[in-house]
Amino acid sequence: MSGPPVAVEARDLGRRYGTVWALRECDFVLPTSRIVALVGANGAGKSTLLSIIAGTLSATSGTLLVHGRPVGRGRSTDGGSRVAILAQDKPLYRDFTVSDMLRFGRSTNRVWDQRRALSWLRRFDVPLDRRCGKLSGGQRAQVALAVALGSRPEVLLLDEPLANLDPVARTEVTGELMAEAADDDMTVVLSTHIIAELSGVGDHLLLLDAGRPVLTGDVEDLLDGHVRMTGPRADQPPGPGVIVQAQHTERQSTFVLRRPAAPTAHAVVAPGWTAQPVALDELILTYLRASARAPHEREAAA
Amino acid sequence: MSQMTRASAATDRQDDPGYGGGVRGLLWLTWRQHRWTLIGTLVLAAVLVGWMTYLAVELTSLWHQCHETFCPEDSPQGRRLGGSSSLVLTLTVLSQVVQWMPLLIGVFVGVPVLTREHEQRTLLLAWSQDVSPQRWLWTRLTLLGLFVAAVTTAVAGVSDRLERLQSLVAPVTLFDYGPFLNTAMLPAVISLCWFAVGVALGAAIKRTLPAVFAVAAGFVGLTYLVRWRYPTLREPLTAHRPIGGPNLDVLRDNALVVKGGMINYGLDGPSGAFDPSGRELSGVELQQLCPPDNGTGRTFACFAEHHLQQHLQYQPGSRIPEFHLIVAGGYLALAALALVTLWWIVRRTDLSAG
Repeated sequence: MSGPPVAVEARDLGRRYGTVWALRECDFVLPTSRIVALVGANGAGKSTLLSIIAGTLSATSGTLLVHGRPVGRGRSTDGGSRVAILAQDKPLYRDFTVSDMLRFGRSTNRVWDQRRALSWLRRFDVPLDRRCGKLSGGQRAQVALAVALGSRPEVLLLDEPLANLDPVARTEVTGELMAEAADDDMTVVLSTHIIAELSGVGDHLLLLDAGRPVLTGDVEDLLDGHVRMTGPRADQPPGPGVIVQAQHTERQSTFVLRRPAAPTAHAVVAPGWTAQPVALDELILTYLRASARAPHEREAAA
Repeated sequence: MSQMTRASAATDRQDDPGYGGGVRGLLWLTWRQHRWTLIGTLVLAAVLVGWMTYLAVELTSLWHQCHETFCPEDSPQGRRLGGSSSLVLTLTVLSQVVQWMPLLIGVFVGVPVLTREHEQRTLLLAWSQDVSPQRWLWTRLTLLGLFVAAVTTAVAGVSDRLERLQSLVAPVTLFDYGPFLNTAMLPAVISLCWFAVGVALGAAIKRTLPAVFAVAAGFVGLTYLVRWRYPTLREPLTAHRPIGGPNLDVLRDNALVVKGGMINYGLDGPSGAFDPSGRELSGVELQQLCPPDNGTGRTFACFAEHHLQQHLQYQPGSRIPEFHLIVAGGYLALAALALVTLWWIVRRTDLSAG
């Protein structure tokens, strides 16, 4: 059985800074033409992973493939997939005007869509003749996005792209980004540590914790595949599935379960138990907590 | 996606294959990023070339007025060429500017190529486009290097002419350090060298100000090393000159005296005089032969009467081109080392988006 086309594939990917592993044992697959939410706490390895995918940072171990081709640092995209990255601080040439930045994009890319870049800037009322050093943080982010979108990348990597934007602009930008991605068969990987930002944005999730992927998959599938069961206090849940999280009070137990892959009717087998769907932010927090607990449990077991 | 579909999509989207990623695009980018530095360098070089050309015309005129030989010291022309006249001061200042030009090139053109990108964090932006980091770097270096070569070659050409004219109208030798450094291809080669070193140090240090200090320290250090070592790059020739006799022919035509040629009066008495057989006389022997005259000038005549000689080590003027090649070769080797280091640094540079 062949799955959806793969945009990015990591095989045992790792990156070490000195003695500290920023990424470790990363195995995942990101499908094409999707908006991938890359989520993790500060220092989880999101920027490191995006930089490796962009080819600006070398991996210490493992392999990373973009559209089936290995990524190497400093390699031009001649013949390979075109990847654009928008860094967290949205770097721009301060003494360039916005028009100059578009010309920069045109000068350094094999393919350039001036209309797309211009239309993005017009949508957000960014003046073309103003120097980038005199733009507001939000406007700088829009210019950086325009340059990234104008190069028509197959994979667009956005590192905390919404950080400098006000709530209204965030909604607008995410909406426009989703439209651009849908129009262009572009894979967008969007990193964030603010879980609330994810609502309605990503259709695929990659959750990193301490440099390791702890949850990855289609958002709908992940939500369908998890359930929260609440009932009288018990050591085990009444239904099948892997326990991701268990919480107990004196009278009540709550389990977050990962359902088995095979479709089974999710029957509540004991009276007094209720099954509820899990929201995305709740699911992410559950996995992050479980992941944080795991090392302690391993230590205790040892 | 097939080529046909891709082309069709490109038309719909206003895709512009244009000059993206090519030399033309990088030429624009290089100009846009460095235009004020390039314009400033060009203006400075134009002023320098214009001023030196004007002075060269002046010196040519003086040379003709002095019947195409050295101008006598007591002539109006000689007075313009002697002491601390404004002409001499101007020539000295311009000579110094040409000697320090490579430092200016290294600091203002070389260092910012990478430090500015590091400081503004734009390197990730530049290196994540379709142009590979190596291509981005080497195309820009080639363009800036060609500019530096063109500008400094123009300065070197006029400087060479000016120094040669000075050696025609006044008793100066082209083998002296200043004229030696300002003639032939050396100003251009040294400038290119410090441009490359500036870029490499900028890449290594990543901050403009420390890199500028490193370039300045390196320039001053190497300048003094060259000044100290260049007279003996080849074994000097030796000669004896009768004291009070005419100047040796070998010392004409821009020779450089490396050692000797003077009677030194030290604590142990005078030294540096040789008898006709070529034996150096001790201070006591010399004072016995020609007692001190308390400033009457009799001693010097006494030396001449006894046919005493001075021993000289010198480099003949005919060796200037060879010495130029040796020094230029050294600077080119340093430039090559800087470029190899730069390639290595860029190859190893990791950039993170966070």
